[in-house]
Amino acid sequence: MASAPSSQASAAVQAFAAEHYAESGAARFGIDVAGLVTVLAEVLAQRPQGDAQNALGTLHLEELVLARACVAGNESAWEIFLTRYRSGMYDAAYRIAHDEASARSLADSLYADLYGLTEHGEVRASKLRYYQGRGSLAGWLRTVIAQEYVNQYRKTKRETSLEAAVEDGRQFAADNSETPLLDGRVEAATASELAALEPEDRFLLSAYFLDRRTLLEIAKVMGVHESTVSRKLERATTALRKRIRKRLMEAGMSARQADEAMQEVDVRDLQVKVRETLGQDRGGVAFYKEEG
Amino acid sequence: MKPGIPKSVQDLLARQTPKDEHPSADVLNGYVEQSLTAGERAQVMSHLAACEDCREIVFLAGAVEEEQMVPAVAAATPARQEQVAAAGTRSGSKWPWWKWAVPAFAVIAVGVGVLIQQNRIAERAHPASETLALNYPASSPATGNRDNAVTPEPPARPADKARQIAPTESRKHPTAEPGWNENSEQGRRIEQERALQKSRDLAQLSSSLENSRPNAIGGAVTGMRAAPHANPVQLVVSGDVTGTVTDASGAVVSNATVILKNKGTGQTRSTTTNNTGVYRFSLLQPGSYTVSASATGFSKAETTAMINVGQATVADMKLAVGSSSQTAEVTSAAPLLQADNGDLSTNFKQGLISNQPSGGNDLTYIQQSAPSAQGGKDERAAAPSAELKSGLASSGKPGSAAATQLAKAMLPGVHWRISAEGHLERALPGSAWTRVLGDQPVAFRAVATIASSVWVGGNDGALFHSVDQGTTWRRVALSTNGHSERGAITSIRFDNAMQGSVTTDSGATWVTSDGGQTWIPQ
Repeated sequence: MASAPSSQASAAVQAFAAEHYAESGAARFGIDVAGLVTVLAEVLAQRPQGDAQNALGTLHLEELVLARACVAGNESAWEIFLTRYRSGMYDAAYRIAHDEASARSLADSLYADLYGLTEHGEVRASKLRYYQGRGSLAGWLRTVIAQEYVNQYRKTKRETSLEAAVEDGRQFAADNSETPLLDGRVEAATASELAALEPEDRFLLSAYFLDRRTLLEIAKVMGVHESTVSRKLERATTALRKRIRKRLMEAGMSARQADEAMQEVDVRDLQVKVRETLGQDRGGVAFYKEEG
Repeated sequence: MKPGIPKSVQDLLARQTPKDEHPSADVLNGYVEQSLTAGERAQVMSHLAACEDCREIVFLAGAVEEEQMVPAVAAATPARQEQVAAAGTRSGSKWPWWKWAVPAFAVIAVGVGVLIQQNRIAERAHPASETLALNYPASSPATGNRDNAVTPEPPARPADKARQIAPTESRKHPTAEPGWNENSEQGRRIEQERALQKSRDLAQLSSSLENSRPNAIGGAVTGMRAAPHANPVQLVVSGDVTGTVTDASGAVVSNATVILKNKGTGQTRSTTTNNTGVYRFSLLQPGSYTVSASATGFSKAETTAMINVGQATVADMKLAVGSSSQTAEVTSAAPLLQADNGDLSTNFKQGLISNQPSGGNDLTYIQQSAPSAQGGKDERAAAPSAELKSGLASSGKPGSAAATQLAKAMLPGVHWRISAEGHLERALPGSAWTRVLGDQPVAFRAVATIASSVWVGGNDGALFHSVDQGTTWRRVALSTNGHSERGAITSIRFDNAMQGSVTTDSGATWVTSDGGQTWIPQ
């Protein structure tokens, strides 16, 4: 971890530390102003250059100080930490893992990491030192639990046993890993147009079409309304189709060839789509033409 | 039907891999909480677009965020937020900060209203809330009216088959600890060993933590196992509910649906009984819950269960035969005995502590009077079996009468308290309460002990210190640069023998880091 000694800390950091010392609660953990300056300088060293003012303003100062005091092994800091966050941690683990055994194991493992026990229980190198105060400490704990969950449980879920595959009848499943042969021009056009998209649009497409997240989930994570997500998705897909089509035609395809090359679905998908369409009750009457 | 995305796009999206390092948990959390700077956010978004694992993490963390269970801690003070807003204006932002003030104020006003309302509901629903107060922050009012908004139909997704993407080469997922390789077999083995070691260390750690807690009752202590020789922390904050679902003849009903509803928050969880008819919900916040069970061919049964900290409440239910449309309300009294585990615990309420003729409101004394408590005052080595979970946190407001009453210290055998008249009183082993420091014209407000020291404070900034259990006293001046403290000392707290603080009713806080030799105002 890069750390800047307090002597090199900018005047702004020192002024900030002096001004917000009382509010940071550093005094109750025996951290003086110079100590606070060191903490702030360390945190700012991780941020992009020129972002210091914004970073300081949005910093979760009190929680950052608490975390640092815990890392330093301050007992009263640990007491506060446990009182405030322990139950939330276990609760978050339950909500993420959805089963008690995994939740307990996740939270217990994080708990030990937070204490930073080595194999001999000697040195405290608490995981809390990675908390940088960008968001809330509770949120950081949730994110770390989610990371651990993805690391441990999702990975093992991907490894299915042969018996399970036999039970599900999957051993006879058609091999659908084979990618249909794509015209090189299609792939090139798609790749360049995808790369030209805004990161946010690529994120939306991946989350919605690959991860099958709902609009509500995406909206929550992006901090916007569902309808905004829906609009953005619509705009991104339409524009992407148009641009790829244009590029294919520039590469010498006819309009019809381009449309065929950009086909959305293959035959297997078609069956599912028919079912989906039939399942949707739009209030209209199928195969009926209004007379008159 | 609206168009989805071309297959080529879908394939390419699925094949993309992140080119940069995974962002840290801190950055991902900043993303979820919308607190990243614009530059950081764009960088994260770019990574998320290509990294399935990180997307999963933000969605998992984001889903939990809404119902976070810990007290909210203010991120930045309004003053600091203003600074940021002002900085934004200086750097040419089109949206001056004051334009946010009106909607922000409205949001805060609604939020406070919701919070107050929730508290009222919680108070009504949790008569035992003194035992343990947990704050459920009000959900953002901005999300409350989502349902009313018209949501345009999104583009259609391609079929499910597209999801069956073979795992690409194993990706190194983000972890707060850089440099950890989970892919190698050796790495996995080390991890397993580490996990085993962790659980052992954890047990060791809990015991060492319990033994290292300072004696002074100073702040919000959620639970305390009141061993006479030490006062270790018992940090159980959740409870369980379990039970057996049977039919009228007493035969167990397996696969019955059991729904648990928190009366205070309305949150529900559901499970099904196993083949012995047993269900269990764990990690529950304390409070009052409704448990209902239903199964095909039986009528629904419902009961209420009070979840206490550290206990597994037993709520058995009997289903009567009937159609599923019938609703039979079965209300059972709280069982006197829980036979689910061997833990014995008692929840002490503030009222009990106040009313107990307890020889000076001594918490250990009250604890010893609890059912199942073993070991008398003099049997220091006896294993403590009653747990004391007091409402200190809720009554610990500086300056309140309850806080003063409870601000007594527990040196072994010697007890201290402040009487209602503001007299400092001491009880030596086997003796009655006697007044100490009676020659001082001071109304005392707070007393604390740390190791062999006794600190007592009162009006006019009077602070006294004794190192010999109150035989001799030294008056300690709270003054600096000609300024002397004149407010009444309402609380004294020592985290260890060297570091402590006192607060006064004028809002001043003085701290010491040299065992009380010097005091510095904050």
